Amino acid sequence: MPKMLRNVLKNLFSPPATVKYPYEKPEPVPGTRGRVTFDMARCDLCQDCERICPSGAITVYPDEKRIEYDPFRCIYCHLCVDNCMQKAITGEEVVRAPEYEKAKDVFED
Amino acid sequence: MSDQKTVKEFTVFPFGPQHPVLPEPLQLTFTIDEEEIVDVVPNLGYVHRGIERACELNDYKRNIYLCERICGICNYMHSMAYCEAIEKITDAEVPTRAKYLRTVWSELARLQSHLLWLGLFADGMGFESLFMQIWRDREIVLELTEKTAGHRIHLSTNLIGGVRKDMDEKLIGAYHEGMTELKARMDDVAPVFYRDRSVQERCVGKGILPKSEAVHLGAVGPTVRGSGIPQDMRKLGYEAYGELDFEPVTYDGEDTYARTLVRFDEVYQSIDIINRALDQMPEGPIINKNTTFPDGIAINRVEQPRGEVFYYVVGNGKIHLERCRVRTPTLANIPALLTMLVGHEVADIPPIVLSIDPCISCTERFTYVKEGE
Amino acid sequence: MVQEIRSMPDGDVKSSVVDKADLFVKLNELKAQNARFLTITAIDHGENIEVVYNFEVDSGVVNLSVNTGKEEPIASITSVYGAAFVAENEVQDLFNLKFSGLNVDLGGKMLKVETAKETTLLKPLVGERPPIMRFYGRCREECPAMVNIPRYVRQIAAGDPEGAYNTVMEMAPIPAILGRVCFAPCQDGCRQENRERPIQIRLLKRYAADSMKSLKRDIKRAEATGKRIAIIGGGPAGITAAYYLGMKGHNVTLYEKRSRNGGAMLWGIPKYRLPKDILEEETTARFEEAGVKFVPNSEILELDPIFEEGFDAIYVAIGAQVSNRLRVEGENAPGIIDCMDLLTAVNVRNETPDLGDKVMVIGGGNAAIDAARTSKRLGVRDVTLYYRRTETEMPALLHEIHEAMREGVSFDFLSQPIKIIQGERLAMAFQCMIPGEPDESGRRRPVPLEGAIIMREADTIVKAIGCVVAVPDGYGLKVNRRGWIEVDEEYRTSREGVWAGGDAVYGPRIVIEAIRDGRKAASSIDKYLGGDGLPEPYIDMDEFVPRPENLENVKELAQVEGRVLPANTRIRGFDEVELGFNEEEAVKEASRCWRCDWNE
Repeated sequence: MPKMLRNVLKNLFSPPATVKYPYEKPEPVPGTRGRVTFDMARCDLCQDCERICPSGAITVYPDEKRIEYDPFRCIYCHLCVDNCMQKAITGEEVVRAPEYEKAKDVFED
Repeated sequence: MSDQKTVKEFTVFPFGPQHPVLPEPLQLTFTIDEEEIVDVVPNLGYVHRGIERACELNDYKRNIYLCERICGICNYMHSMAYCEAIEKITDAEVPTRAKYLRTVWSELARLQSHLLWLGLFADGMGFESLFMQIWRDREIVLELTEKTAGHRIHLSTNLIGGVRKDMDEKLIGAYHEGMTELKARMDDVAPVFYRDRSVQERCVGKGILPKSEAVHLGAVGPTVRGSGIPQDMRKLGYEAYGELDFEPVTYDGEDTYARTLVRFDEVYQSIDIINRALDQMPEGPIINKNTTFPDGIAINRVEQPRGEVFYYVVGNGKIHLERCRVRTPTLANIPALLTMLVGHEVADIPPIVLSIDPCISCTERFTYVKEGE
Repeated sequence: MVQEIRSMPDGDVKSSVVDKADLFVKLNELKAQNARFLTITAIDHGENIEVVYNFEVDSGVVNLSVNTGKEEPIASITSVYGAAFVAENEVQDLFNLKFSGLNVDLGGKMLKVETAKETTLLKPLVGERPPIMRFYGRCREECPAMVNIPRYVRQIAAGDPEGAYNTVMEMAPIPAILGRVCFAPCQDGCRQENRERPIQIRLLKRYAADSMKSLKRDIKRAEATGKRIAIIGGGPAGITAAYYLGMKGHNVTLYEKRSRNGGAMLWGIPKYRLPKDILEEETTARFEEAGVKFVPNSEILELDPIFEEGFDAIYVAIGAQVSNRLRVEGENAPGIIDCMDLLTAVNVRNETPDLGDKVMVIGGGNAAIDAARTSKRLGVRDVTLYYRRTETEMPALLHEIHEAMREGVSFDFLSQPIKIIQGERLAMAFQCMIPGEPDESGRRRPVPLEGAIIMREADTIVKAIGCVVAVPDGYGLKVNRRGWIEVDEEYRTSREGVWAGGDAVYGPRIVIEAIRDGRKAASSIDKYLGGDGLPEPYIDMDEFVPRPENLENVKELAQVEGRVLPANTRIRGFDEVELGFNEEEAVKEASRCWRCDWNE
């Protein structure tokens, strides 16, 4: 009983644990695996990312210099970010915003 | 009075697949006589996904990520078991630091799973705020995971021949702090499980699994350790477990209470193993890649939080695998569960079913494939 | 199933195959040893299903394998191990295998609902799968002959130049020559070309060839087939076809107009790029390996006598031998020589004609650059090259142009000759041009600048504006309007039993394209004569090729440059200018490759 009382008092007088999103945004932990974007200026269309992706979320069209990335098949493992030789893929720490429709992102030169 | 044969009427009712107590869908069809259970028939298959077949169509490196998604709670150990099986049939040699890292992360996964189960078990008996409190303590573990690898549940750090991420001094310090804090909070909660009278009323003497039959029925994990049999796959010495001294936790009660205490003590054991492994970890490289395709048959057994998982991997020198068979612990515990339930009352069903820690996503990996699509 | 089973270091795994009849005997033995039942694994092998029973005995695993046909029932082991019913029901549902005597038989409905159709794990899965692919690599795709460049670069990096030589020989039989003269379209395709440092594939090929102690290898031909094939023309296309057909066992005779073989490689490429003794050594080595009979000094003007002699097939590779005319007034004046005559005199007959003090070379291709650099070596002080378009549109190789500039050749662009005036000294009138609209090849057509005409004098004028094909009428082959022999995609001509390739079919092209023509035609001829052709390149998914060890390091390495003779001393003679790689440089350069054809 006294232990419970101590717990109750502690919880009564401490600030709430919730973060008032969207007025305050919590800091992402460094190293979070979040959104993936492609920089077509540095890409040399070698298709390494397409071959290494475990879920097949990336499709490269070398003749048209275009990359189609499906953020809903992506499992955010960041293998493509680690293995791109030209460092053209950036893995950000922000989680991707939700969408109404499932559409692919197209990156063009 | 004519000869009347009295036909006893049995009631048959389904338990599941959706039930507030169950973490995952499982259907048990009970046949009861008044309040006593007479017969149980299981019916699985609610979360089939076709993973074993998919493992044959992917190349062997993508399967790491596929196997990780067999289960959401014991995910790290699935990917580790698969990587170890493939490493046996290629020529990859895992460096020592990677072995220690894998051990630390496995124990972290075990902690997270046991804490989840403790919360659910408390909720199954009616202690709602205890459920919330234990899940708040689980957040300490999840935040450590996020600092290590970027995601809270799926670490995705295993590769064939090693791991992908390393831990620096600051992170190791954060681990030690987290473990200390977790231990203090577990000490707070322990009296409920060890000494509270309502817990003991509901758990002692229920769900008996006799020691003589436990192994024969094929039970594994804490289910069988609660019957006094020291069976623990970690004693086989894979990864860095061979260099860490520990003994399997056993209790002799043979009932739900014993199994609860086994899991609770394993929480303390995991905290201790993590602290010791982090202190003993040597420096060195973290990956040593393979140079051949997988060729041969490999058998690998790993101790998951729920018991022993069995991997049977067949490769034939090509980039695809020929067969990848996974037998998860819950599947092995089901015959034991069916035996445990007979003779008890309906109100005892939730704690008994929960005491084997059913993880049905692990159990079902197949799908019925529609023809002609 | 007798594959090896490997297991964890502390437990050991024993596996044995048992017949269905002996299964229960073995089971009872295991039960006596207190074995614990683990699970049942079923593997589908096509005609039969292998059912593996896994048990644990004293912390080691014991497997019993039973092979059973797909429709046969198999006895259940639940009488011995009661807990096996879960695993057996699972196998029953998924593999359509019937177990007899199950204690809890859910009738194929444990994992499926009541209304599911009878399907099993044996069907192919539906839906999109992530792609599993391997590429040829851009260097290999750019090579007209599809030489396996990534593999031989890897072999050189691993210290195996002889293996590299043999790899090149699969698709192109003259690596020592190609390592000196090839235009290397592969280097233009290299992914590192964007950073101006492609892998020096051509020099690596030369290193592999130079490392061989003797260019004649110790290999055997196939069995003699008794068929006879005649090849007309000893250029690269002819030599290639002769080698591959000879190695397939046919009886090949090569007819060459001149006294030595080589074709355009002999007269066209100067001695400082390709020493003629290497040309001789390699082609002779190929002829000896393939058993080819070489007949020089025989110009063939009709094909009928050859068929009458008993040959079964003919390959025509006569090349482009007649130079284009300048089509200006005064073209036939003395002092105007054709570059082909000049180069033949210097390269084949080792003459040193006196060209005077000042020489003008008209043209922009590699032949023009060769003529200009040869003139410099013959002692001419002032050599100027005139081309009617700009430097970027010159078809010559860029490094040849730069070497010519280093040796002191002057260049005059956008000048078109319009008239030659004979006098005490030859004079030529040039019309200055400016670039106009692009033509069909994408290059801009030069347009005359009105009123701008310049006069230049010289002792000798060398014309090097291209060659045309002249097919003798006696061959009876159909030619197109440019004079090139018409062929279909298998290099067959309009006449039965006659194939053609090389410059004679496509106009003046590069050596490696002629080699491709030779090999493909050889494959077609072999199939016509009853063989099965030569192996074509394909993507081998079973070959393990790792990615480079450290991606960061291998990105930043600079190109290793081949050594050359210094510019001011080399024009005193005809010594070979490029000195190539030594072993250390070659391994360092080959290790720079990014392995675009990785297959891990």
